[in-house]
Amino acid sequence: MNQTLKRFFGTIIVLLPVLVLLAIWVTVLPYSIRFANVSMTLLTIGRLTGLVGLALYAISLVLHVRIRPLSRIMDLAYISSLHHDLGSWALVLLLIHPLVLAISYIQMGWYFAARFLIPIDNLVNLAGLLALVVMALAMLVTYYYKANHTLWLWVHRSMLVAYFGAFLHLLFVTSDTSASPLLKYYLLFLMAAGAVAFAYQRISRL
Amino acid sequence: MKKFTTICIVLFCLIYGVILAGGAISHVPASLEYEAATSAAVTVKSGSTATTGTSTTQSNTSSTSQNTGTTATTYSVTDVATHSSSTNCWMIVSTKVYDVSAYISTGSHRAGNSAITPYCGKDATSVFGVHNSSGYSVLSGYYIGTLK
Repeated sequence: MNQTLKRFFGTIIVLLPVLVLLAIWVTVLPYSIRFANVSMTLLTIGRLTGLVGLALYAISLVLHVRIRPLSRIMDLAYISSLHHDLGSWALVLLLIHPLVLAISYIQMGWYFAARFLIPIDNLVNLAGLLALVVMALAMLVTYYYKANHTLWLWVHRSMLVAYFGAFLHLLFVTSDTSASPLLKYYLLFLMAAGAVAFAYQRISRL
Repeated sequence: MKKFTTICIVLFCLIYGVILAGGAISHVPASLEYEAATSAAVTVKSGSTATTGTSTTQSNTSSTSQNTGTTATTYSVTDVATHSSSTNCWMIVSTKVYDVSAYISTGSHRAGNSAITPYCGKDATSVFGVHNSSGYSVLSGYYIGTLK
């Protein structure tokens, strides 16, 4: 099998958890409700970007560990590039997530859309928003600041704080995940896999 | 990917700012409007033992203080199943029974009445889980009893 084909199959394997997530997600609510009108469509898109973004975040964390079966299929350089790309896509989707949800609130009034983006009275959303801010800042630093490697490393690791914030948000938010325990536990499982991968890598380096 | 992500972060900040600015300059007392919209539907139900469609939908069972929920009336699944139309719509959410006919008549559900009517006369617990606390708060105004 040539390298391109190996990489293609490797990417499919890596993205398989997202496909499973989507398969579970489509069973949660009927399409007639999900896309009933513009507002519901935006709500659906907002929720979906959050779910997929979180799944990609978890996969990206798993990929930063050298997984032997995977490294037999794909070369390490490609796995590393997948780790970066999936991490970036996770951030992009997670950035879209609150914005689209806020836009869906505009039909009720701008006040509600704005209030949604300043969730001082909603700790669950606040955890999600803070996680997103930390993730975005850490990503910018890892992109553009490489002068001090130790600092760069610590900032990159601070994404784990964002990961924890996202975990809390997922655990308590009322959304598709609260309607479907299967969806919730599947995402929690993916996130746990990411956390275990991180812990494994830290321990193995001791 | 680096440039694309950076552009997305900048766009995020811009749109975030626009929405916040929109909220700040919006001089419509939107909070009152929203509270009114949600609580109006609740009030229709809670204060209407003898008016509107609510009394018509409670004809086949005893109904002591159903609207306030202070004395819990119990209903069987079969009782609930007989109220399965959009004008006479009961549903079960977490073993509690709600008469949402009045809410349907207000047409104030975000996804439209078609999101509610398929669950009239049925258990909607799993689907209702998508709502946030304000959704549950609105629903509580339509409480009529518990499941046997």
